[in-house]
Amino acid sequence: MKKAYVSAAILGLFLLTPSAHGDLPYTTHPSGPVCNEGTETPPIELTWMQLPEAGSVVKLGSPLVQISIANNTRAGLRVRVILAGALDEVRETLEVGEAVVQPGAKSTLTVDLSRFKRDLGTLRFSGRMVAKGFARPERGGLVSDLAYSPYAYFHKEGGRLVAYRSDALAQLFRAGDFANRAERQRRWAATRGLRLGGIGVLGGGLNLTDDDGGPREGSVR
Amino acid sequence: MSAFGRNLRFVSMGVALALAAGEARAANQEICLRYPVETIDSGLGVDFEDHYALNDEVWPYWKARGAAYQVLDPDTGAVIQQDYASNDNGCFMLPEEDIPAGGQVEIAFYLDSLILDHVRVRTRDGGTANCNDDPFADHSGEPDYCKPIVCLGMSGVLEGTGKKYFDFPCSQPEVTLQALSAYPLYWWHHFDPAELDYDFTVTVRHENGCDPWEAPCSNAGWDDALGDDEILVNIDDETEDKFRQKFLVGHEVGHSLEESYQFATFGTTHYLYGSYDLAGGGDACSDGEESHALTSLEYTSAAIMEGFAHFLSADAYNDHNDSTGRFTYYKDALGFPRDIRLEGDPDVNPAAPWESNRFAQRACTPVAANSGTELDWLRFFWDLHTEGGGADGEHLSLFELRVDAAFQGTGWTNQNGYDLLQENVCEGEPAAQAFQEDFLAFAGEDDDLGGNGVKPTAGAPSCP
Repeated sequence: MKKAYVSAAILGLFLLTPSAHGDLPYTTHPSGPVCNEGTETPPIELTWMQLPEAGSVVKLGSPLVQISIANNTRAGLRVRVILAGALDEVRETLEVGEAVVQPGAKSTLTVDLSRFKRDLGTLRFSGRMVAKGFARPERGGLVSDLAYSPYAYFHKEGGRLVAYRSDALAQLFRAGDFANRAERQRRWAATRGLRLGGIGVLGGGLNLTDDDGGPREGSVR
Repeated sequence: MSAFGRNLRFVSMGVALALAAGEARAANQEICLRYPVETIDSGLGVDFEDHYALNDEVWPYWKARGAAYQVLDPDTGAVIQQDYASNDNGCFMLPEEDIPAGGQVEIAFYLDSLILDHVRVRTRDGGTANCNDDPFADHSGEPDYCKPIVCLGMSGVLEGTGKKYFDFPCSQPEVTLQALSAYPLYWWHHFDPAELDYDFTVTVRHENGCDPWEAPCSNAGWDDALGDDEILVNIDDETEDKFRQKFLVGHEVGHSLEESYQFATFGTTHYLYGSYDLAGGGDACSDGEESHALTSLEYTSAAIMEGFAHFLSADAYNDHNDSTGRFTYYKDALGFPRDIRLEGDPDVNPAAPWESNRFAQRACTPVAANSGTELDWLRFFWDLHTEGGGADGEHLSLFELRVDAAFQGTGWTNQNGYDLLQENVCEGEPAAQAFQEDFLAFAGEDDDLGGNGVKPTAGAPSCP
């Protein structure tokens, strides 16, 4: 069989997916991407009521945060929500509660962050948290969907809880070093031309195993 | 207290601290890095999310396979050790003698991974530029795109034996993207390491990937500012949904793997598609106002391109022996439940035709000889790969089957890609010919043979 090696006539062009419904030969397509994958609405969505955007920041008088649960399916769902928090070296999970969410509707659950065993006023670096929802049919049964909220971050300022999302973490709170305790470390990253995505205390012993649930192929994991 | 007493007290404290430090450094430390990952395409029925659904207390921590790291002295910032963590488990050893007094270290976690010593996967931001690929180099003065993203974590006292698991101390979207990108590349290479031995880089950007177009996009391809062995994956995102869809990221990274194979094998940067001109077929076979879709009737050249990327994503996230394996589709417009069974049903459910094999043939009217759907091709490649429980070492062979076929004297534009594949499986390299029996069985219309409805321009699937 002959292999006709296609010439690299368009070497250098950004050769991504072609334009929709176009009939130009691909060698004359304009450079640049047009493929709009990933437009789906998730079956269930967990969002932070007070933190709708990646740049959101809010000051709360009490450590209560609301989690919105949207059911985008055509069936009623019973959604159990847990909250995982990383507070310096502490990794802790809180049971938030359960909500029945009708098709196309939303429900809200509230969680009190003072339930964490760690005193939020003693945090060295921004606490971070993610909510996880297990959705079952309204009348019970196996879990049908699973979803996570975006991560959110928090620390205490005076008597108030400041909560924020990822863009604010990076732009307003020194990537988690909100109290400016790690200037040397931040300078270390900056002088090497590194972008600091976050800074914090490593977990005090995550109770994990070598099995992270990854898929198996054949009989090998 | 006298001066002597104070000195004695200090000496005692010093001895105690030294003993404590000695105890802390009493063992080599095996440190394992994990990504905190958030996903929204739950994929129940596949292994990863089954695991997390059934284990309430298990956080979404994925192994940081091949992740670059540096261990730092917490007092001086001096680098004690730097390398890439294990491909298999994201772990590395820190020798006892290298642990500073006091037993604590800082770790710089990079969103840069090296898979099997020759595949770089990294998450970056900004306009493209040629970079020093060594994450440990000094990147000051380089464009933003070249600046590695790091997370810095301070450890407690490292003591005792047993693995120490640490999560990346940051969790912005790029961490999830790094995990979702590195995993499929590890998976596809893990089972064919001796064959896929060429060097390439996959760089993933979360935002600003689609400047020429106002709409956000997801795609994979070459960029004129980069070397041809670097494939850029854009997961541009206005809704915060895309970066959390593992099947979507797996699909785009799948394209990047095809492209890197193509460049390594043929030395060209043509991509392997024509256009997405649709072939009609009625409402059930439309693109739902997208440029193409899982069930839209397309030229086979386009349906094969997208169906193969779907397959690569599904392959990464499903056990071959799992009859409930599925691909979670990521577009809204079609409206059907987006959890697509990989094993299609031979029986037809008129209310849910996507559950059946031979979707195009059964749901689209008419079906031109040179057209097909991504769904049928997804199942076709899935069947080829998983027949008999799946041959783990055949990833390269599938690339030879699929990508080589695109270079049989044609530009792989709007045309019947099936014929090119069949020619390749009949007359191509031995690795491609190894699929011949299954290929001919899974093509065509014979449900007893697992027919997926992909078929030649004329006649039944066959070799001359």
